[in-house]
Amino acid sequence: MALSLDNVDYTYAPGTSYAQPALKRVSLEVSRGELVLLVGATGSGKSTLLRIAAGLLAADAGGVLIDGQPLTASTARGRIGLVFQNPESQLFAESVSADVAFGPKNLDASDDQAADRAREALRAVGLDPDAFGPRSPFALSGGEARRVAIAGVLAMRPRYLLLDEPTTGLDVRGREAVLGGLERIRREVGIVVVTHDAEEFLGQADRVLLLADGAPAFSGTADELVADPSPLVDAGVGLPPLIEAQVLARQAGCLIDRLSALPTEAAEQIAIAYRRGRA
Amino acid sequence: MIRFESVSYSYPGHLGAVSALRDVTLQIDERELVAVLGANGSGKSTLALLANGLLGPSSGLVDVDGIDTRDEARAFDIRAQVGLVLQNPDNQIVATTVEEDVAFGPENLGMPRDEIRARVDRAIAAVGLEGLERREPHLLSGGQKQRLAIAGVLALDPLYLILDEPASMLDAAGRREFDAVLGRLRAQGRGIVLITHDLAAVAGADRVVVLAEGAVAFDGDLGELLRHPGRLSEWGLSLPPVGVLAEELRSRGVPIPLDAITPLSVAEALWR
Repeated sequence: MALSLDNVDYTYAPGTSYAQPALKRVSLEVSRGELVLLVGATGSGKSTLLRIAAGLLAADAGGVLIDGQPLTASTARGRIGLVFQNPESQLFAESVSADVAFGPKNLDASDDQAADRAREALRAVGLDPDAFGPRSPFALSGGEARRVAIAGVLAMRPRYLLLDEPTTGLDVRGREAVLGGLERIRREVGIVVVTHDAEEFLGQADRVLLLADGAPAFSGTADELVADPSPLVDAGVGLPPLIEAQVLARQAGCLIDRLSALPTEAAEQIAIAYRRGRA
Repeated sequence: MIRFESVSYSYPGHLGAVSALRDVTLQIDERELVAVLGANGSGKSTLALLANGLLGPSSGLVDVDGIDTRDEARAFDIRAQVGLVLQNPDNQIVATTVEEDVAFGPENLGMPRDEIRARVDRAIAAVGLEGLERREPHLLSGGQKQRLAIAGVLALDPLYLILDEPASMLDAAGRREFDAVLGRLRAQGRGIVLITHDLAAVAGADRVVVLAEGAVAFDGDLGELLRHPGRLSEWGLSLPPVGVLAEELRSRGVPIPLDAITPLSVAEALWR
């Protein structure tokens, strides 16, 4: 059971003088319980790929399958949840619970079922439905509103959840709340996160697909990318600061055994190398 | 200098006024880069709007080089001195090409053509958008748009620049470009207020002011701020991963200075 894109091509405005190839032979697969990071510089094709994965754009070539069936509007319906950038700008109902219940109602759930699903979805993103359900969606903090918007998608019980830059514009508390919410649901659904800031998700991701100019520049586990992060530099994304600190420390003569995406682990490695160097 | 003297501000609301800033006293000198840090809702953006007179204080005084910002007769002088660049560049790009957008301000002041041309060229060079003068703004990358918004304000040649979350939408490459622009603006001697919730973005600042729930919780240098990292979370802030790394290294007996919060500064400390 997986959402899989196999050697996908996509060109904007094909056949015109503005024709612009956006994706060239890109493959992406996400299974339930997996968190895949989609990284790339601005204009690398991340958002185009996400739209194809959601069934909003049809690939020019290549196969797109959901649980073994070709992805179409009807096979995508209810199975794929897409969270756009700044999704809280799409909150509209008079209460949080009504807003989150809107999706399942449109998927033919009864009022009671939709209300149950809304409660379940709010709990999944770490918001107490009794406290937040009656509140206005327009009187929430940034992190709360973002999580309500994600809950609105989760309430449709998608098998795959696609998120475009889910932490952009949030402060520390908001980010931690959204990351915590994703951590809570990641065993139940397959998650694809698009980001230009690899740092905050590298420690959490299972696999990473890196795009450069619409083509895959790296595809593998997050651990492999941390061990040799040079593709991030080549793709114009740049090193996450924590990794860059370790690379520069190496250049400064600290013979670190391996790079890490976790500050504590990195400190341990550097401290050992530092003492070895002083001895 | 821009001076805030016991400034409070409340937004009017139908359920009663909502207090956004409480008894804020601080000053920003020419040639100074001051970072204003705070969580969402801490009053940072309100501070920006007060600094150039778009809002007037509910109580207290905001003064720009001796002009009270409530003096409506001088509103024009204040806006000319204090340039404000808002968070979302799309909200402040108005024209159909890059150079026309930058020219919009000077044109509206009725400046002579040659002067406009010179100002537009200088502003575009300062933000590194040379070669893109005829580009349509919607075809620019997020980072380029952010720099265009800064150029539009620079064309008015303000003495002070207030930048509200200028790097929030940028990737690592865009951030490097932005840092270079910031360096150039400093070299020009402008006073800069950098508003952000990202501690990693303030490494180059002369001074850091922390706002928490509308009040000044800290005003000092970065090293002093990081002497007690435990306070950060009370203010809705946290150390970036490199700051956590530095702290963990110190706790393991590796001498890393308190203000080392960038990859380079941590590595340099290891080199010594």
